[in-house]
Amino acid sequence: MGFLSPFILWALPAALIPWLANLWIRRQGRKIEFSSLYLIRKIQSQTLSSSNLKNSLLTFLRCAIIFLLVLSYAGPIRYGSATKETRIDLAVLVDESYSMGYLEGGKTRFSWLMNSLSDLLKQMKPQDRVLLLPFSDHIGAPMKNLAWETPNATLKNLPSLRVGYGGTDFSLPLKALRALWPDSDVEKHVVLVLSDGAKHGFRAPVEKLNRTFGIDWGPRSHNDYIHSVKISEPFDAKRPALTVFTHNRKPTSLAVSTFSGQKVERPIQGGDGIRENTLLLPKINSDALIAGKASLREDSLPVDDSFFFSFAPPHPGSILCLYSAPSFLEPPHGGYFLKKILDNSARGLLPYQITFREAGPDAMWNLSSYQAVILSHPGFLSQREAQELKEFVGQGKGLWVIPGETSPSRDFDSLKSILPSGVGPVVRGESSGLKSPASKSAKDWQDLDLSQIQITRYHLLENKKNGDVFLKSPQGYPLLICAHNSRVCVSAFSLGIEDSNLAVHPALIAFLRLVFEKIMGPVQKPKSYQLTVGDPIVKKWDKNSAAPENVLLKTPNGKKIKLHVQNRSVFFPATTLPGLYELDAVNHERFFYAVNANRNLNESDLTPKKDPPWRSLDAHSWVGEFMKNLKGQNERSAILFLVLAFFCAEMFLSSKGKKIFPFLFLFLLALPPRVKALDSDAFIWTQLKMGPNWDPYPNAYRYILSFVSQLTSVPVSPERRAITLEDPELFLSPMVILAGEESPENLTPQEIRILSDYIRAGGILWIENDSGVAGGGFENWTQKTLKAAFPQLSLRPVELGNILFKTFFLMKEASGLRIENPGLETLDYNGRIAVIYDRDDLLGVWEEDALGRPLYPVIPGGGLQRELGKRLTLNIILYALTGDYKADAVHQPYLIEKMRSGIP
Amino acid sequence: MRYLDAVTITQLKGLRLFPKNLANSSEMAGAHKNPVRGFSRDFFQHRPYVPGDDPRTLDWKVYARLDRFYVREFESENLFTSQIILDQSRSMIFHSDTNPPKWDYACRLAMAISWLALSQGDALGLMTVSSGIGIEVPPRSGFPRLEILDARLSEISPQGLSSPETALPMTASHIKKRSLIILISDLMGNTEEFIKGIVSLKTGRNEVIVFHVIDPRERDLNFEAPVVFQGMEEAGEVAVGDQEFRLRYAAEFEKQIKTYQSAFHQNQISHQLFTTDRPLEESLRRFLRKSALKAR
Repeated sequence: MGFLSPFILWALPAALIPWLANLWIRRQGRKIEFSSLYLIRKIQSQTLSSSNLKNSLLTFLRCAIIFLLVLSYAGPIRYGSATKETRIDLAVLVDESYSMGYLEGGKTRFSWLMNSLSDLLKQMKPQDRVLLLPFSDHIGAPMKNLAWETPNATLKNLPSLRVGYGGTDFSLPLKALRALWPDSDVEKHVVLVLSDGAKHGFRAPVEKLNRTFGIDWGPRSHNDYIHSVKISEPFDAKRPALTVFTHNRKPTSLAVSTFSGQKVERPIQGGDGIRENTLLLPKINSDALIAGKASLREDSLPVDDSFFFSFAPPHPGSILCLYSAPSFLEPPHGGYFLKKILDNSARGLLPYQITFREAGPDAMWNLSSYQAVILSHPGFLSQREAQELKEFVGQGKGLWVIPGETSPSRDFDSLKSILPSGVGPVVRGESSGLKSPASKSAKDWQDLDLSQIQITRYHLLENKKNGDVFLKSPQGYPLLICAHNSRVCVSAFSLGIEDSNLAVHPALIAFLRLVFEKIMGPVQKPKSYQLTVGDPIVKKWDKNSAAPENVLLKTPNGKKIKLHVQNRSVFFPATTLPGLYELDAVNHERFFYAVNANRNLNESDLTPKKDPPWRSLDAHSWVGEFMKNLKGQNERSAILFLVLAFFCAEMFLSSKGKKIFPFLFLFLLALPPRVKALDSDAFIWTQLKMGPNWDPYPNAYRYILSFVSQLTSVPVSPERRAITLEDPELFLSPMVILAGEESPENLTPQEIRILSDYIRAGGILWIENDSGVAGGGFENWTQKTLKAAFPQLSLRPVELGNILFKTFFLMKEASGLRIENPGLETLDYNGRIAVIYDRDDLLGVWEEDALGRPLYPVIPGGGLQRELGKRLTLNIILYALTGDYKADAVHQPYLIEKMRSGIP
Repeated sequence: MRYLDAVTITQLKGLRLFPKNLANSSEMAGAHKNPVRGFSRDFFQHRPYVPGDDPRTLDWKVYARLDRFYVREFESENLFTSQIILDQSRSMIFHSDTNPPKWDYACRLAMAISWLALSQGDALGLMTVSSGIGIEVPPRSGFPRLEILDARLSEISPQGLSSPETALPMTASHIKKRSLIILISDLMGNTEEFIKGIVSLKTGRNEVIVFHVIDPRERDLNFEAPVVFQGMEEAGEVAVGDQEFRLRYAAEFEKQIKTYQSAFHQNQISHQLFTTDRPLEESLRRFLRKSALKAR
């Protein structure tokens, strides 16, 4: 047992006052001669025991009350079992993982903990030592000079801590501490883990230290998040689609915005587990970058509600189609269909660029810029042409030979060495139908009805050893042969209608995809530029492309960093923020790197671990609880409770036990559960202390709260809360009242931000202009402040039917001590009233003198005006507490009927 | 006279002391009717002569008319002796506020009774007692006794302790004749001792009346707490700081009165309570009327 203010114990002798007073009073008693003491003594002998006992008990109780009061003021501390040393060595492990950004009551869990930690440090003694160790999925920076510091020095270090984007791993810091301390020291030190205690931090086994304390945040509310974003397959360069993997239990909305400012949004269904949602992006240029942000509607953990993505679409393969007859490009010849399907300008069905060129005898083919050549009915090839094609194929590029309807087989003799098959004479086709190709892309053919395809004539192909047959006629003759060691294919028929009806059959796409895959290689997928926070950005230029000397890196927070290119590569050591990092090369080449917090660490799952390896302290009162465990408990409240009990007993005894019930009731009222209930959900009148005359009607709130508790079932707290904007209690109040006559000082940007945050978080600001002057200084200040906090929004006069006229009493107009026009204005934010501005001096109607008469006259006057003012006040309070539930359809008929009846 | 004034006399005129059992026992003729016929001025009846009757009682006029012997009978009227015993203990000096001290009240009461008795021609004596016998005025008749009594009473003041158990039997031994003993006392003290002492006065030949004089404050202990009581006759102090005590005291006092009344009733002793805030004539008149009714 110890005392916070032991000097107060000097007042302990005051406890003897009742006893001395008793003695003194006895001595001061008038001496009276009485005829006989016989009866008096007789009665006294009968009652002496009980009377003396009662007197002694009363004196004792009075002495005890004073004794206990003195004790309670001295701050009695009962030392806990946790420590008995005079110095405390406290290691504080601060979780900086991004799940600590979870919002509780308008503030993140991290800032709650930091505020409480600073309270804790202020309570510690100068001789105590603190070791601050931030961590996430790695040990934080101060570990490098890990040292014990005084609480004050630690307090100065706190502002440098902030929530990062890493995961959580509790094993790391605990292991580090264990390694730091010899075995004998482990028992001496106290460890405090400031974290959300979520189970995602327990992937690795966690060392259990003896005196470790953690924070318990209670049952967690659900957290929605985006797990990842991918480009939907098959990739369509002209109309790409994104697949967004979300985890949302309830339906919500999913939005995707691209760096170029396009935005798509749609509602999505909810459910358990990771859900797949596909979103079609707006039409873009085929070579444009696909970068931007996918976001869910924000919830308590905003970091994981958005996901940045960046994809670079592959370069479409360019194909040269050489034909001999000009009619090739016209229907019903094959060129026409090829052109339609691979048309660059139209919505191409396959991601290839094709160039058609007539194969004239003198034309220069210039094949180097193409990946493949389609040789359709080319006629006789010259030696040079054949050589060029051979070299082309020799470079690993593709060639598709389509013999024309009448092409003689000798036309292809010059290419014999590279073709996988010989081209034979033309034969008439058999009955309709095709034999399913035995290829990997067989699934492309599965849903197609191949029996309808009629090949009316085709060349007989002679398969060589290096050829694979991919398509056969019903009788088994090969229709498509591709070389397995080079990218050369030969088909037995042209795509023209005269040879087959394939061109008008859906199987054409599958057929072309098969052939192009053979001659061009597999379709390239978009390249993803996804990084997690902390990863470096590395960009290399290959030898074929020109590397710039410098690049400009734009970070998500708007910083521009110039990077020098060395050895054809540029290196940015570490990304620190999630977002899009834009790399601008000098030649106007742009790259986007999408950086996200690591989703694979399960940080978004906030489920707390059931039995953490530490003693859990309640998140909202952990400092007291921790100090109680560490230093002992302040027993003041227990002693005051005892004082009250003694006081009740004293009153009971001195009133001769006749009025037992009032004292019993008083005692029951004082029982702790009642105390707890008092500060739970009672409405507290909260007033902002701003301006020289912030409280023009200091007693109005008493009358208002009395009115509220008489007319409604709203529990009210008898005390008001007068706060400033910096006060954390602001965010505990559903409504704050700012009253005044003169304009307060201009708000700092910080204050405006707090005010704006408060209103955005659901708070209501009720501004009372009590100056009696419309358009005066106070009003100008109000307009200016609201403009600064909400540039887009403005105050609007309240009209008949506004929800403020319905929430409790039905009203038709605003009222107050005066009637201005307009008297009441509101600023609506997100479909609700966020700011109420009153010029009618509404609070003035409440002030009363000691006899209960109104203190200020109403202008123009009338009891009804005052009564309406009171009703409007109640309506505003009820609106702040219940919102617009009265506006729903359930009440409508009744409201309409009541409005019609004209009853005020 | 100090303790008797004309007003009292006026108020007491027409009242008489009626001892219940004493009238027939007096050897002297007096004012009190005797059931035994005797000699007096009041004719009672004629009765036929029987042998043995005193021939002097023969009514010769009747014999002349009727030629038969008739005897004349007269009502017998006797004198009796009254003995006042006045409590002279220190407690009698007590008085509250504007009320007279019990002693003065008791003296006035004694003088009033004396006037009544003497006016009836009875003999009256007076003794004062505290721890022992104080003054003693032997019983004589005749109004000049009043002056003597008043003078003797004026000379003394209350002093000494009351010891009823010893003092009262002592007074009884001083009373030679059959007497009406009137004890005037506050009876403040040990209840048992008072009862024992008073009962010792009541012998076969004496009749006892107790005039119980109290101050109203002795009845309800009407003091503002806290009070330290000092006994007038006892040593020591008693502190009383509790209003509740008053209620208990009042109840106990009531109980004491009941105890006295019950004990006196059993021993055929009359009892009358006088409080000093009421005129003594009023209480005395009530008592005398009551006893007159009983005597008839």
